[in-house]
Amino acid sequence: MIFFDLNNWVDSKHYYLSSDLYEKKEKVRGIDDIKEKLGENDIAKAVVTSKMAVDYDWDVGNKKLLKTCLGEEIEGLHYGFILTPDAYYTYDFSKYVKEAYKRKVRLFRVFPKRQLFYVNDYYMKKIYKVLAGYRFPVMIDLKQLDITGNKYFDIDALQKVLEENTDLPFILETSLKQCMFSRFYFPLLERYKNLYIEVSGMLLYDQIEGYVEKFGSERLIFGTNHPNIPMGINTNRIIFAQISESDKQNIAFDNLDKIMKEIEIA
Amino acid sequence: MPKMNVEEELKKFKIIDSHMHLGIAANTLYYKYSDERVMELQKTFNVETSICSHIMGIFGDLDGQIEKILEARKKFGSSIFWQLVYVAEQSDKSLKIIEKYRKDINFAGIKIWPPGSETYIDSRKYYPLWEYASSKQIVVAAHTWSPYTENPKQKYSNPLLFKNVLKNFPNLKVLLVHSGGKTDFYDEVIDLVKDHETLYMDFSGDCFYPPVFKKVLNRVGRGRSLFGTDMPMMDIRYHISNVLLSDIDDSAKADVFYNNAAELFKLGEVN
Repeated sequence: MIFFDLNNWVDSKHYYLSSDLYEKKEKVRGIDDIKEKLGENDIAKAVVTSKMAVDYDWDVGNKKLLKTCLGEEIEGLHYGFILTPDAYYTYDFSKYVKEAYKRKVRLFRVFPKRQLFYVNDYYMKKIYKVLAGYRFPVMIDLKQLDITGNKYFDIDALQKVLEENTDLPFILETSLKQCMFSRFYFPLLERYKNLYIEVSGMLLYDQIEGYVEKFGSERLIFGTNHPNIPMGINTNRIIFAQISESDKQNIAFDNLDKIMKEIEIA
Repeated sequence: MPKMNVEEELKKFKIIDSHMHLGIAANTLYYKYSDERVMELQKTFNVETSICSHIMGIFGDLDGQIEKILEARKKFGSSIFWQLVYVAEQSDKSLKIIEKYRKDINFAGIKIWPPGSETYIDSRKYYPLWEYASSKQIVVAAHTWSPYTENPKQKYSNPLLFKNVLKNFPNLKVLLVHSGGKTDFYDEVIDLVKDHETLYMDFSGDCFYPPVFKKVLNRVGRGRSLFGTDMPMMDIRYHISNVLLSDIDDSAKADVFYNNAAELFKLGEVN
């Protein structure tokens, strides 16, 4: 079985900890490291995003990601960019998206809580409209909707985006088991066919099997959340899943591949 | 590194899950929950024996826990060994229930969950438990977690507080459930275990860090890491991979998966 990993990070602070728990070679997290690990884990394609673009600055991190990878024509490697409302007025946003696409960017990610803006900010709405026109996927971590910090998620904000942008493939990351405590997004999955779930935080027993039974396998997207989680942990979860081989194939690769192929940039 | 066929690899090992539960966890979204499905998954993934506490007890319903355990014993027989819960604010009742039932079930020790009682591990409220467990050589499985996390109640379960406890109860055998729960805290917990030979570790929970098993081997030695899952909060398949992906040989993996728990809990002997 081969995989398409949506949720892989570089420049993660986890790899710069001084703790001797981290092996020396793990402290360097360059493209070579990713390439080696992807092969070991049968990950044929991956979208890599810069953690620096979340923790420090979206634009600096995005640029550094491309600079790091410039000239590295690695087959199967794509990039994720972090977006804030600034992107709309800093750049000609349509051009920015087209340029990013040329440089193998295939995903935009938003971290509104961490980077201090509203999901439905005035400029974000314009950003969603542009991206919906290109059917360009956007990803948000469920934790970013946890405004109270007590797992009481602002799902209405997400619903508004989905309602207003039915052509926008919207992927909900379930990082760090947040999805185990949220009843809010089941109704959204029922109502909005453009909502997808990334699986790396689906840690509850039989959680993947339960989703497949209730919603089918077409809207589950594989992600490792590496290096927060070793790649093999999540690839093995799919291999061990008690679902049909075609469902496994959908989750592991096909669903994300289809979304990527449906991006419409002339 | 050669690719691993995980399904073939798993066949090499029989497993004791030294930390799992029956019952649903608080405010958690289960699409469908059943005890039967939890136990079916245990069997499917080679778990021969499950060391289990019931969530009803952990949330303070000590009588409810017994009802559930007796029901489960009829359904699942001897594949489950049971931990009975000690609740700090129900100390007398907890110990009476433990004393009354421990001979009648496959008893594998006592479970505590300090955040639920909002009681520090080294509080005197736990002294009756430490005295009881020490005198009878009963293993206590203590939920432990890093105090440096978002949930402020986890400060009650800081495993480093066992330093104070063990000064007064040096023979107390404790399984540090989750081993502090967070990868960046494991180092300190490993040092604690190195200094106290009655402490044991499991790495269940929501962190997956395969190199930790080698770290424990190198710094503490054999016999102290146990396999645990925290089912049904965590799917067993994640923690199986966590051990399979570790950089230790098959005999060390067999220790983690089975031998260390069999030795600690003295499975097969009458408690």
